[in-house]
Amino acid sequence: MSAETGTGRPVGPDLQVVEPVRMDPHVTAAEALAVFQRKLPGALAAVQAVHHPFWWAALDVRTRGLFRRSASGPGQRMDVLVNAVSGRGMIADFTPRGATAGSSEWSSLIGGQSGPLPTRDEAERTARSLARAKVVKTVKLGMGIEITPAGGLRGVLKPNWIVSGGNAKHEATILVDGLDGSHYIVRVDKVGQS
Amino acid sequence: MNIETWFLLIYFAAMAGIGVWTLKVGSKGSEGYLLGGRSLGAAVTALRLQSSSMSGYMFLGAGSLAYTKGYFSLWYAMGDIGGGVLNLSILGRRMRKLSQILGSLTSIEYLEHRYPSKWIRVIAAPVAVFCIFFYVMSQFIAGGRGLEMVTGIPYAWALLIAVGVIVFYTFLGGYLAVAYTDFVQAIIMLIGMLWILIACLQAVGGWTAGNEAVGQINPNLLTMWGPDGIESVQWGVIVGAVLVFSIGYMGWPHVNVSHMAMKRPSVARRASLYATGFNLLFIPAPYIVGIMALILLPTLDNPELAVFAVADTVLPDFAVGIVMAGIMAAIMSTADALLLQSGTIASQDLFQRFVKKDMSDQQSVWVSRFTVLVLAVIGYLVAVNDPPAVAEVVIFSTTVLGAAFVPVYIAAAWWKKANVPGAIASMILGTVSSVVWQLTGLVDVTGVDPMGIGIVCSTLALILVSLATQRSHPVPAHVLKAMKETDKIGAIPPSMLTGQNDSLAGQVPKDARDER
Repeated sequence: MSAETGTGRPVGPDLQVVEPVRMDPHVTAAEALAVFQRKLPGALAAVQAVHHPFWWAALDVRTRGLFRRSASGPGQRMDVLVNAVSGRGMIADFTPRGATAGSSEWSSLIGGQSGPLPTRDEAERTARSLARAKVVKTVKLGMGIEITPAGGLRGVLKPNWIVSGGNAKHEATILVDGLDGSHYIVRVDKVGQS
Repeated sequence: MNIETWFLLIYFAAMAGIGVWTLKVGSKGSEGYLLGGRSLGAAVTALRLQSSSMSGYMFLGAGSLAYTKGYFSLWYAMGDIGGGVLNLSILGRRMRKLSQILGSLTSIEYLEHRYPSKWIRVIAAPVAVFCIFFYVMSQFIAGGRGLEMVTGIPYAWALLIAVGVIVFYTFLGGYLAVAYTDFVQAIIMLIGMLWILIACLQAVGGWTAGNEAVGQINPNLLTMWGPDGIESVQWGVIVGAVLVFSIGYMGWPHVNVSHMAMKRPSVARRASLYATGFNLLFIPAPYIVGIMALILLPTLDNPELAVFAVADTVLPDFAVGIVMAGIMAAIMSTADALLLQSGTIASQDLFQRFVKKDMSDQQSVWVSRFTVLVLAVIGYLVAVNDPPAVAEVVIFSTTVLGAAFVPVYIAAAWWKKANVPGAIASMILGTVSSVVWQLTGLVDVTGVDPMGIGIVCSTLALILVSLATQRSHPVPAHVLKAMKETDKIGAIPPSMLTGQNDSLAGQVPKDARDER
């Protein structure tokens, strides 16, 4: 079912991972098709499962008072996913779980991308600054924040659906998020238009 | 350069700084530019809502009303105090949720999605832009006058500076810039106003002594019935006075857009607490100061300057600077919210809808910015050459906006039978009745405020026409489904979201992109 893409461009050792986690989709193929048909009523379409590589940083975040040197209390675990292609981060409201995939699958996905990819260090920095920004928004002014990584960066293959098809008027391809069912329109053309 | 001017310069620089800072976060896509990426918390939502709707009116109009009519002016204050909490309680959570389910970015687009017909936008957008333009122009004039008074520079230059600063930060960051500057400005307004009130009450020997002195001028000023006593009361005008700022508030597209920018629908509940707290502290103050000005400045030429003049009399120089920054804050926060709203309506509701449907996000942002600039230039030219009376323009445009939009906004969120013909009839009748009532002088003949008559006409039109056309124009199933979901408390199921998730753009596989 899963049709991975990638040309297998060799990737440097810095970007390779051991045993990435391949997450299972929460949204079914039928639900992804329904999203497509809501945009294009009466459309016939093909659904294809794809995965997208993310760096996963688990961070322990603790706050401390303005005049205290060290943080106290257990703090909070934050799971941050950083897009291994675009470098954009997001704070996950879930802990990634799933089967272990082969490192060749990760390398194939990463190697298939053109253009510069974010390095591990950049991904780690993005994750930390995102976690910091999130906490700064909620804590009192002047409060100190301590962020410590709980283990190193791991690779995660996040599930999505690519749905392509059309009705009498339009042909389109959309990407449906495999976790929350939100969508992104990749292309839409009028029938008869190239 | 005097100390007041220094304070204003620091204030302008700080506000522009916020604009520059939000440039990075605010304009990455149209959802960011227009709604701040639906990311605002309760405090920012509430104070933004309040400061953008209070406007220069609180410093000019409220003081003037109190100076001329005494405690009668508190009818307006009552509407003001309840307006924020009513708006957030009635529309806040539901409008936030429904707008996201329907994928709406602007408050006019929200109406069109709820009442699916292009005629909704064809009617609503011009009415909104027209009224908002007049309102924003009145804020320009008030800003120019305020700056002229503090700095002593000629009106034309003062106006240019005020308009320039407002446009500068609206231009830079979009909604996020406006929302955060409005938040800061609400706090400055509150501090400034309370400072004047405390100093004013000290100067008259306390509230009781002040009231006794006012009673000696005219005992009727101490009653709620106006200087001529209860015999001369026009009950229709009192009803209108309470309506304008309480429920009238819910018809302002530029105020309602802040519901759509909340981080979560549940933010509305906490925001209404903040709004109430702010209102209770802030709103009575200019009215009380205006009344006490009768004792401190009994021979004031222009009652609109009552609050300014009291501040000048009772405060030390440096404090006048801070308070003037507060007054400019009120004026500017309203003006920038209005300007942005006009830009939004032009780009999303008119240009993208009717001219260039495949407009990109970046183009949409630039159309908004261009519109803001054009409106600012036209507003400046009118305001500098032949400035109309501020209060009249504000009340007229507020009344028309309220009469045209209050029933359609409320019914959009609450009444499942409200349909397209009902909404069209309501907006047309609300606009026409309030404009005709105002222009033909029926207010004086009947003693009924145009706001009151406008709201009654538009509400009746909505109810009667909707009920009469249920069979021919049923409310579409997807709207009913969205409204049922809106009834529930809790997160929106992703499957119901019709707007696209732009953050997924970075997850499109290369071969799917190459097919384009």
